[in-house]
Amino acid sequence: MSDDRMRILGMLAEGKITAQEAALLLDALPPEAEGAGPGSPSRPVPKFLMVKITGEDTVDVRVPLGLLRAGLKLTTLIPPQAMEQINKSLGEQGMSFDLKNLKPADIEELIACLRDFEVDIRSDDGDHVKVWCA
Amino acid sequence: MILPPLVLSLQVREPGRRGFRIWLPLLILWPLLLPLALLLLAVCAAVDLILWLGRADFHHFSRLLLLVFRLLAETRGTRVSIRESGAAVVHVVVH
Repeated sequence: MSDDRMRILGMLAEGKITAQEAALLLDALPPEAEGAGPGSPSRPVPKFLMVKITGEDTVDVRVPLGLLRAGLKLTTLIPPQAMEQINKSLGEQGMSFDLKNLKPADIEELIACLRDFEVDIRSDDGDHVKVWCA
Repeated sequence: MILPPLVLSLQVREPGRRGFRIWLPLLILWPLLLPLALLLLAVCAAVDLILWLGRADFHHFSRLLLLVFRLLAETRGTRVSIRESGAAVVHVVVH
């Protein structure tokens, strides 16, 4: 259920609006696309990051995404001084990304969205690199 | 419950040579390391308490250690397979 729907129902429960007003507000909201969200039950969360390189040599790597999840959670425990240094270095490399803003919910959403992630590169010399999540 | 890696399998094959496959039973290693891990955790908890009482900004060493254990446990399912054209094959799996 979306935040807007929850807010309307909360206002109704608190008695700030009437049931008719709540119904009008709920009707005005855009319909929810059921099962279309990245974390919805119909789209299972990927468990592995797969890398496959074929060509002259063959490399096949499967990395559990739990490792990524735990690694990202580790960033939340970086001491503030070190975090400032990391953010400064990231900024110097052109990545204005503040690791302090990374919340556990964001990590879950990021991993859920990896379901749609796919990199497929074919070179002229016959090498084929494919990265995806399953 | 998240279990640590139980078995590490390593397989190497080379053309013209006899290949080998090793199963490393890591499950034997963990009970031996458990007292050391618990001791380390107790030390970290004591350090955290001292830092917290001293109003230090960072006092999460025990959480950090637990997360490192978690990181180790999450390696289960890792698989690396490398095959050179007409040459060696290396296959590593963490079970």
